[in-house]
Amino acid sequence: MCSSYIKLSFLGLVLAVAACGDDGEYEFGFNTTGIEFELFDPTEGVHPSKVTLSNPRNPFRQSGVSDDTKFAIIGDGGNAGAFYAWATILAEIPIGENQFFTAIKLRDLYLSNEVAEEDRDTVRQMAIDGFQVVLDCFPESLLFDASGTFGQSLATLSFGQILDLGGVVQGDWRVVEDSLGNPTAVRSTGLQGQDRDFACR
Amino acid sequence: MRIASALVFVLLWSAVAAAQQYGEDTVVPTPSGGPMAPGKAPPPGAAVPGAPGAPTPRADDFAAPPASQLPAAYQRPATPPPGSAPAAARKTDGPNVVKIRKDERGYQLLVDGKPTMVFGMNWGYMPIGQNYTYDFWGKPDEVIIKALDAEMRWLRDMHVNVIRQYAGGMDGGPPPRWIKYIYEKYGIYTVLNHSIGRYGMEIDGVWVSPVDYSNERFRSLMKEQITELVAQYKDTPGLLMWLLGNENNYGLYWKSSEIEDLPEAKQGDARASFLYSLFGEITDLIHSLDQNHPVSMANGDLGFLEVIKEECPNIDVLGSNVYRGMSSGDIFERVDKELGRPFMYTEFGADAFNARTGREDQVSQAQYSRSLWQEIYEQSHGKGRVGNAIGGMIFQWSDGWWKYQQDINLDKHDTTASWSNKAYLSDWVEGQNNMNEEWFGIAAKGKPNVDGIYTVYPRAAYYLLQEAFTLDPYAPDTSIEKIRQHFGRLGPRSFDDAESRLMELGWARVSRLRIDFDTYTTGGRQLNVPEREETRFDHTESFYFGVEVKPFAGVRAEVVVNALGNVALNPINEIFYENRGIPVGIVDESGEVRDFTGFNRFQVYEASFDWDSKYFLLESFFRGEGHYHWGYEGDFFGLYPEVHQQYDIDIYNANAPLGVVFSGKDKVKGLKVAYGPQLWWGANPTVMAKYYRQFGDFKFAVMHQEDIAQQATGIASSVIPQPKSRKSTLYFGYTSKRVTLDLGGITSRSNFIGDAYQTARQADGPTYLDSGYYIRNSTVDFADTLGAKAKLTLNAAPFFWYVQGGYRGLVSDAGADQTMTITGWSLKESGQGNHWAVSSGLGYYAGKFVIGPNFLVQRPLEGPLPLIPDLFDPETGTYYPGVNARNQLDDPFWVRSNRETYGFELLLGFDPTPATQLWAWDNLEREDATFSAVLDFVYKILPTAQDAAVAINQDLILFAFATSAPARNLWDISLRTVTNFTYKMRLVNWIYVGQGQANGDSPRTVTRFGTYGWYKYGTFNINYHLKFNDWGPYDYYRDFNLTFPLQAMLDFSYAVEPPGMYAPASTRFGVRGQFRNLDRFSGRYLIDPRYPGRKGREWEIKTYVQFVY
Repeated sequence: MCSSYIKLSFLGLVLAVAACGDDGEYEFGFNTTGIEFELFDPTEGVHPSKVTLSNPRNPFRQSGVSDDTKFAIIGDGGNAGAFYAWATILAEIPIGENQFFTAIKLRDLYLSNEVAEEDRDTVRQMAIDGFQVVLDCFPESLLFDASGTFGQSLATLSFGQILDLGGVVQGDWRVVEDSLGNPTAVRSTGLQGQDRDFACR
Repeated sequence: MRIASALVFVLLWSAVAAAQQYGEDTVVPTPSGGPMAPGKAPPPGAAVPGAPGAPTPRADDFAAPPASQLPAAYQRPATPPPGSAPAAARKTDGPNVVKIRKDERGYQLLVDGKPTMVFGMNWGYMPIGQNYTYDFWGKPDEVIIKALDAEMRWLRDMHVNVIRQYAGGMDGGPPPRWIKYIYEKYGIYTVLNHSIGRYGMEIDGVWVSPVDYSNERFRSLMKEQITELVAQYKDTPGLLMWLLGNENNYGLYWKSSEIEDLPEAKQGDARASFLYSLFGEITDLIHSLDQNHPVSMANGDLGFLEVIKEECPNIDVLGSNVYRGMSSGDIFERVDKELGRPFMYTEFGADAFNARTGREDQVSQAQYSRSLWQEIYEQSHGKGRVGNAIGGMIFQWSDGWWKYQQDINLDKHDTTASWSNKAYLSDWVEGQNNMNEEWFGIAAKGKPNVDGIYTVYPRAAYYLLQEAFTLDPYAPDTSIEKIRQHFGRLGPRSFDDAESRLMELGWARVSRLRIDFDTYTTGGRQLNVPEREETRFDHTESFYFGVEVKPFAGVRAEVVVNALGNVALNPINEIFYENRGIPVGIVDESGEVRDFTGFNRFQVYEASFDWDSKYFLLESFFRGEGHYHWGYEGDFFGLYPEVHQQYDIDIYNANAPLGVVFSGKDKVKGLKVAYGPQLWWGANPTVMAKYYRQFGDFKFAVMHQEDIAQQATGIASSVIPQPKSRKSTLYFGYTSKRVTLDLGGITSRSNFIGDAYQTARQADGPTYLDSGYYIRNSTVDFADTLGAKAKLTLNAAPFFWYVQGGYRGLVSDAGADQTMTITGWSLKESGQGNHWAVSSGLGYYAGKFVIGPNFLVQRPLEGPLPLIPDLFDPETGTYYPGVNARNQLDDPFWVRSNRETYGFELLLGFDPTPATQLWAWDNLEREDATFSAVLDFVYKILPTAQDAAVAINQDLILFAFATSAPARNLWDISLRTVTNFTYKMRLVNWIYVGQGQANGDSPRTVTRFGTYGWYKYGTFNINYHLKFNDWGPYDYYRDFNLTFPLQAMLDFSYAVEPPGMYAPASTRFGVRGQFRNLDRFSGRYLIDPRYPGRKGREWEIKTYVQFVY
């Protein structure tokens, strides 16, 4: 009698455990062009914030994006999809290139009116902040072409983007002509040493 | 001239002493041990008042002398005492004839016709740092003679005339010639004690403990042993008496169907009947073989007296181990009335440590000793009382530093009281233990020299009893009144020495002083750090200072600090304890890098605080000795791992273990709570509680662990903090005679419910990104937190078998199994979640050999994830996320040690001395066989890869590798040997060959081989290793698969004391050379195109001088 109860209890336990199982869903990928932007946090996509990794609307927050794929997404993935992809990779690998293109996608979202009306100013400011971070934290970063041979200063590009968005460049940045006559953003002091470490960490 | 004078003096003294003390021996005939008029001759060892040079006054005019006139404590008396006698006075031509005489006045022990009181001592030779496996009688003669001469002089001077020694059983016992030597040279008899299986017995090649006294095979083997023993010893001069067992009535635990069928209340008597009937049969057997020596037993107090009377009626003397405080009460009356036999203490006395004050207490030990011996005198023959006391054997001669816990801390004079005895009111407190097993010595003990010879330091009780024994108990005028007068004059405090008084007053002491002076000369070739190629010289100085305080009863605290002098920058092993003091580059406000050397030059090395109270024991620790696991007390899933004074913890400067453990007593017995920032190295801040109880054959435990926070970072990849979690376990155990069953359930990391994870299934046809896998996204649910484990162990000696099965949900993580099953197998089920496993092993003990095959089948519920690159389809705008190996930083579970494994292990052992188990953690130091060996072969089929490992970079930032080492079957062979060439020459050696994979993502499989070991000769010590194609010394070498073609190390040192394998710090000096070849798989290797294929190299010569107190 007792052993019957034990057997029944054990069987019940096994069934209960099995019933609790979650089979999950197959992975089929997702369409990035249909993704809509929604303001989650005004620091999203601006280094050193990593808030995008906890934004439930960010479809990349768990899978990440590889270096090989990010440039494909930026062209054809839709502005919102590309923003989330680049913001994710920025949070994981904080370098100037990732910050610059994240800010570019914020700019594109703003310029293409893909944000709610009441959030437009905020998104514009987020883009300006992103470009400013390039100046403050990654001033030596360069943008290379596909062949990897031609480097362009991301600081100079960001300087121009801030002005284009009607913003004001912070710090003692100014544009001068280099030896080839190309405009180049330079600074007198900027953030250095421990100050930069503190602001950019 | 001086030598000649000394010889003349010795000869003169010998003649006078012989004439005065033993003159009557030569004129009183004692044919065949016939009776002699009581009091006619003094017993051997009894005092002769007025003997020349005697350090004590005459017995009849004795008065407590002023302390200044007492023998200086810790100094051997300069002149021989009354009890000594020249060898010529001994009976050496055959056995002593020992009889019991009974008359109307009581009982007397007659030795060769002379009434003799047993002024006995439990004696054994056990240097600090050794335990019950120590083989004193296996040492060379010159060592034994040195030790005996040192010890027996003290005993003779105290007027001790009998020692108790074990024979047979585990320690082999003294060969007859040494019994004869002790007797002939010092006049001290030996009571030879066979334990009769008290601590186990080898039966048909298998060590069995506890023994089953009802087992006919055991009884017959035991009688065979006794027959041989009696034949070997019975004619030995100096043998006084046979003694059976040692408190065997306290060890009646065996299980058998005959016993277990009885009502529980009757099981004790039933077992006792088997025990004492065996004693009875052995007594009769001895009587039939030897008519010259009586037979006694060492009973535990007066337990089972009625059974003894029934089953062992012919015992000659009832001996008992008795711990009843100042008086043994009615013990003499009861033995006389209920058994009608003379009584002799086989153990009695008191410890010399006051558990209440936490200090040595020589005075109370002396007081107990005085009172108990006065009682013996009063209860002896002819004093008008019971008259059946024939003496006793004090427990014990010198402190047993091994007695508490017995296998660990053997060189620590432990002050933990291990049992409670209200009879010792001087330090008894209700609910607290007060018996300090390691402090029962009448003499304290010093550290051994290279031969294992140590000095003893007699305590106050020694000097008091030395005076006490000057009274001849059988002298015609020794009356009750005289006895009381004599003992009344013995004031224990008068014998207390100055040092112990200082110890009572002082409550703080220097517990540690260590000084290290090291130099390093280094150089190399083809290294990627150019300055390392130069020949460089540097030096390190390191200082340790510790203080221990005992401010209150049961409270102890110790702090050890370390201070640095210079710290060498050039050691080729760049991670070491003192490297915290190397210069650190700091960027100043102007952006310039400045070197600072002042950081951490003074820091706490270790600290501990213990509080032993009525209701709990509180132990807190910072680094130091660590703590043990709870695997044998209900922690079936290994949540609380053990931590020891690890070398790695030291060199990495880890602040672990750090925490506090509460162990309940009294009404909360069984409850343990551990809490701390890092209870073991790599632990999260956590609190855990366990309640464990035993009910007869059943055990039960419930346990919970709750991490309070996540450890922010680690400092070594081998101890990456696990994710913050909570775990609960339930355990049931059952043990019968042959079967042990353990069952447990666990729920673990329920805080991960709802977390997302991916799984991959191999498939044919269309698959995700043509990877060959279906990929699914799921979330953790409650069922994934559950796990269960069952283990069945069967003891069918000489066969031992176990089978274990376990199921763990995806996140049902726990710890590694730290217990030992049957042998020292290394192939074990993982402690991680996400797997099921079955393992089974068989141990067959064939005499000196052990054969142990072991199997393991383990599969993860969800296998590791394959590497699938992500893809973006610009035509549809669809993004296909990539799949990466899981890791413990980002995923709720992962596959590492729980990887799919089909493992086989074959372990072969050879050990002629089963008492030193091959698998015991300290076997390498304890092994006493001339040669022992263990060969272990492991083959693992590993059909899949793993998920990614997590490692740590130079900036102490954790990161996960992208992938793992590939699927690969691996094998390993290791051979460990322990060789004792002589008693002071020992070689412990390992030889290994096998395959291994990196922890990281390197696909290269390493086939490595080598040897390493430890050789000592006296205080001369050699450590060495010679490794080929193996990883370097730190965990990151294996993480990144960094190997060296050759690594060689040779270390010579000469120490003051014999070095211990597990305590390498000692007072010594030495030199160590290290050499490594480097190739493209080695760190720091520089590829030089000018010398293609040439190997790099680095070398180091270290000298060291170390002082340790």
